[in-house]
Amino acid sequence: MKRLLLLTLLTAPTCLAQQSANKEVFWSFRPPVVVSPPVVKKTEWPLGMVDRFILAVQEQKGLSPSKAAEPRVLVRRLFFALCGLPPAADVMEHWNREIGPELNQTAIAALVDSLLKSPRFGEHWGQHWLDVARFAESTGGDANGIHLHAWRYRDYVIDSLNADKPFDRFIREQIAGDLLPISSDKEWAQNLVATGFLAVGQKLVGEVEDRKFFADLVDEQIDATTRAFLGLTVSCARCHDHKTDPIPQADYYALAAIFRNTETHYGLIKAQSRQYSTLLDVTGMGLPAGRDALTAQQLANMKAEREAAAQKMDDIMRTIRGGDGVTRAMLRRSRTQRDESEALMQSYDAQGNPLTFVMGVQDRDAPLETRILERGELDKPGSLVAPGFLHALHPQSAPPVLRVREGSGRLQLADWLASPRNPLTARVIANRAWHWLFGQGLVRTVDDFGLTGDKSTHPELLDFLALRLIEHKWSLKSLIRELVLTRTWQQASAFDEDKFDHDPDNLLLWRMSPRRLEAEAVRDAMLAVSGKLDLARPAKPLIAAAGEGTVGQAVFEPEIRKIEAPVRSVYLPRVRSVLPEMMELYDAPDASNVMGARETTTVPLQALHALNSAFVRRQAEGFAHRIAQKSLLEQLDFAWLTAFSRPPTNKERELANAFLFETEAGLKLERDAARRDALVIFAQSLLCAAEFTIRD
Amino acid sequence: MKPSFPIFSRRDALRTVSSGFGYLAFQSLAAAATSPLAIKQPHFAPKAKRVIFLCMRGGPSHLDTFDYKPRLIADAGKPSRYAGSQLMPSLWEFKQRGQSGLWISEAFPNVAQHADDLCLLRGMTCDQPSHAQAFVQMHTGVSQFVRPSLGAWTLYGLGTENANLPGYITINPPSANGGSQNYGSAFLPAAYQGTKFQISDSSQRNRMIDIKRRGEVNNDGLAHLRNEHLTDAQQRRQIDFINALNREKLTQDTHAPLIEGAIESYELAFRMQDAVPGVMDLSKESSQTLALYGINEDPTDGFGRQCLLARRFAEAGVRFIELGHGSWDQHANIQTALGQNCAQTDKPIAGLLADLKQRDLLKDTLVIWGGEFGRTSYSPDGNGRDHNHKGYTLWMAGGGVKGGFSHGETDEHGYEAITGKVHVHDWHATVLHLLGFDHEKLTYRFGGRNMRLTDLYGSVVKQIVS
Repeated sequence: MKRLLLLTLLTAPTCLAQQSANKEVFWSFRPPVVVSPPVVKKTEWPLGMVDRFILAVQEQKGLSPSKAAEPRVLVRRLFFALCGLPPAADVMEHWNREIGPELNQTAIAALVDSLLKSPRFGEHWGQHWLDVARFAESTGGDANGIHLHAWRYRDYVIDSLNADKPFDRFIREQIAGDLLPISSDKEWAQNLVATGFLAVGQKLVGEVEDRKFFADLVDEQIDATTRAFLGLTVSCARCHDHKTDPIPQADYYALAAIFRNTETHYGLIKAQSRQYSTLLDVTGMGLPAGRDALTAQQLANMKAEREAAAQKMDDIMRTIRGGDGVTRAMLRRSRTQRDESEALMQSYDAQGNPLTFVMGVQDRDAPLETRILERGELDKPGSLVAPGFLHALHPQSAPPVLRVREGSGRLQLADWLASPRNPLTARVIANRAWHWLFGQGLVRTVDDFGLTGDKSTHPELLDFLALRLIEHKWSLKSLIRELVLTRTWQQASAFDEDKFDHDPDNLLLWRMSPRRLEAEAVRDAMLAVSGKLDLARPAKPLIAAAGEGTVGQAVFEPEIRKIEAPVRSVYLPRVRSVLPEMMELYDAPDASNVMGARETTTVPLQALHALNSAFVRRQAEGFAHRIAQKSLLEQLDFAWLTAFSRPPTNKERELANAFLFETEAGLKLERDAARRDALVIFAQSLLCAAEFTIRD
Repeated sequence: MKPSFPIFSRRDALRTVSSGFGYLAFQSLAAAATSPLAIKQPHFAPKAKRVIFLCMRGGPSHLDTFDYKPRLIADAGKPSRYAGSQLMPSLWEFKQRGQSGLWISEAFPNVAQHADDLCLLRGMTCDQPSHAQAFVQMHTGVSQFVRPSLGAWTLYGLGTENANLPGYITINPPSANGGSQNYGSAFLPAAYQGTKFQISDSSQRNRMIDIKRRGEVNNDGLAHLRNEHLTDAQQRRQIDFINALNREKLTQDTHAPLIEGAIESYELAFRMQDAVPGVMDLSKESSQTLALYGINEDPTDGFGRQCLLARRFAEAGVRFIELGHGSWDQHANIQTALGQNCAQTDKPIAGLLADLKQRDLLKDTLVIWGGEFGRTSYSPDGNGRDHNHKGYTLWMAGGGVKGGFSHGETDEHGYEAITGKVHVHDWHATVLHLLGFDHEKLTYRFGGRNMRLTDLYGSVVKQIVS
């Protein structure tokens, strides 16, 4: 290890830092600065500092804010923004009264606090982070192998958000949880789960060449880490100095040196993919197993199967040694059966209790050296590189020397990322939170804070929020609370032609931009209004029903797709390329990249699904059943409040009554049955209406 | 942002509102100037207006089909340049065909009759001899990243001619080998992604395999195209009600692209329910046509149906149609397995070429046949061939390519391409060229770069353009 340290001192390219110090330093590489909030004319409008920043720019540009949202609109907005679910009709009416037309801020704060305390919050915001973490339960890529143990990382993210884990701690756990000081085995096991961040990325496990696979794995880890936490595309520097950002190739390989000295444990077995690895065994450390113990009979069967498979393989080898041939297919099949049955056996102890496995990383025992590769080609190694960080983030000073005394340097990397002095980290996550609440970030390109990314529309506000986050001990809940308790966030979404002409993209936040709900929220909302949503977290990962192996070879699409449970969508199986139907239809990412901002598309396949699928029909039946419980006079109000969080207008009442009447008459059924059926068709129409999937 | 084809800005959307909402809602999708799928003009006059890609996954052997190697026959059984393996001659006899005298083997007797329409690229290469990577590269240009597919770029560039059908249809794509990446739109707007249709084979055995791999397949090829509970009239009334609610919301909000989009998509969905079963319904085709494609015959029925549907989609104005057949991964048992594959596809492909020609569609329809790579000239165990990405054959027909033409060649044993090398990037550049695009200018801004299908590579194979 001394050798590594020495190399650091020898190869640190200081010239670059000096060069860039002379030029003007790019905004996102400068530390955030404290600015006193600007003076505004309309002093009665701002509720706090954030509003003053927003209003000041609007006043400068001759714009003004919109009026405040109706209390019901605001309640619906808060429920979806914080928990990803609609408010129930009675809950809606309760908060509507509490908040009142004058928008009582104390009542709003009480609602916000109760939503932030709800376990539903972590499920919704956890999904936001899972998008960034490109979380999935399979390798994706060529041979798409199922990860049966990835769910632990998903639950870890949800629990961390619910616990309001300080974001700097959240970073340290995900990058170097295995290396953090601990006070118990359980804590270590939990920290290990967090490093799943580095193991759940897309991997090309069919790759023939080990060196290339390893280089690509490291590249993916660099890409995910730098994009997720820093909003930088460092992996562009794999083959050459970054074309636009001040990231020399040497910096890429300095990070590569850290990840090359890290072993990634993602599972898969040799019989199923060319590139495989072990999992980390944390049995007995207090984590739930996620699998049932075997009965004596099951254990006996499993042993018998293993024995039979081993015996068959022995027979085949004897045949081959005896000079007779066997077909390649038979050899392959038998070997796979032997290895699979052996692997299954080894995942239980002798009594048939399941062992507890975790995907994650560990430092390598024997360090590997890292060389710059000319054009990124494995056959063109250049000079040695020591582990290190990005010089671009330290323009004014000498680059930080990474003093690796032991291990990979990953712990120091985690500290460097999570440091309040890192100019990007706090800005990037504050901007992500802004994006998730407002629909677009202050920096539009939420995953790109480099030169090719957009500039911040409100640079001083972004700095203010970054510093505020650090000051509040990196509490995301505090940040979220502060943002939703602004007049800016509480504006109506109403259209205004003059303002639209002035600022069509709403860059200056003159209103709240209406948004389509995320895929998860669309499905969860349908389950919620039908009364069928099961809020419990599944005790076992749902993907286990499909089993382990390569999609298309050992596990087939129909088996994955038929897994359906009325749980929140965040708990559905996430197999790359085989997302649950509604997730795919409503633009959930395929987890191939860090994805801080989702697309919103409107395609006819969504309409076909909403009109004709068995799923939506079932939810419509549930919804209709709930409507039918109400007295005739209350039915329309209840339906509208449940689906759209508001009572119907007179015009809508007319439309609804006419539709129900005509549909019932056209059904050629006896009266009660016709009424029941018409109500289902009516309820389904509400689920299909655009407003159901929009939050204003 | 998007230099070539500006699509859908909020300002445009507003203009459509002020120019009368009803127009947008009830006219065809393609007619609305703001639709991302509106017909667009390419950079120069195109030779081809649409593409039918016959995708043979697994890596079909060029040495047994379209790449004649007499020396391989002469040197049969000699040690190959790789230790422990021997050169294996083609198991099928090659003959010269048509006026052009192209050498094509007996594995494709029917396709061979169209030799004078075929343009063989015998010097194809790609980067990796591994299925998934090569398969994804064939579709998107690169395997390391998720990138838009050839079909998505085509639709982005040209838009679609039929507003009642998806503009890019892929039939029976594999869920392995990159799965939906191969017809995805990646960073391009989702409107350009391929719509997956599933067609079942009539043979019982294949049907069972299909069900296991892809699930029960209905006759529409698409999920959720029919309603089990409502009559057409009831559903029409329901959609009227849904869109009445949507319009109510729209009058409150004035400008709401999300709601306008929803109204449009319910109307399109309703039209698709009408249009798709019509296109999928083969019952009006004459018995001669069905026979031409080998439909209702063993073993051609499955792929015959795909080929006939491809023609029907092409006629209906679908821009990019991909068909899937496989696996052609014959490491062993090549005589039987390759023979079966050829028997299943030969007549349907020949039927498709003949049918397109007699309907005068071949001249502007580019038909492509090929897999992710070819196979080795040696055999590891005497009856199969391994993967070969250094030299293999892909052919094209119609759509502005020279017929009866062969470009490029592999060495005497077919190990690797030696002249007229065409890398996947070059092939992509050439396909875009035939569709009227300069592949360096068909770009989309993403991640700070003007991205293109051919990345930083690719040159058009001008020699093959008629």
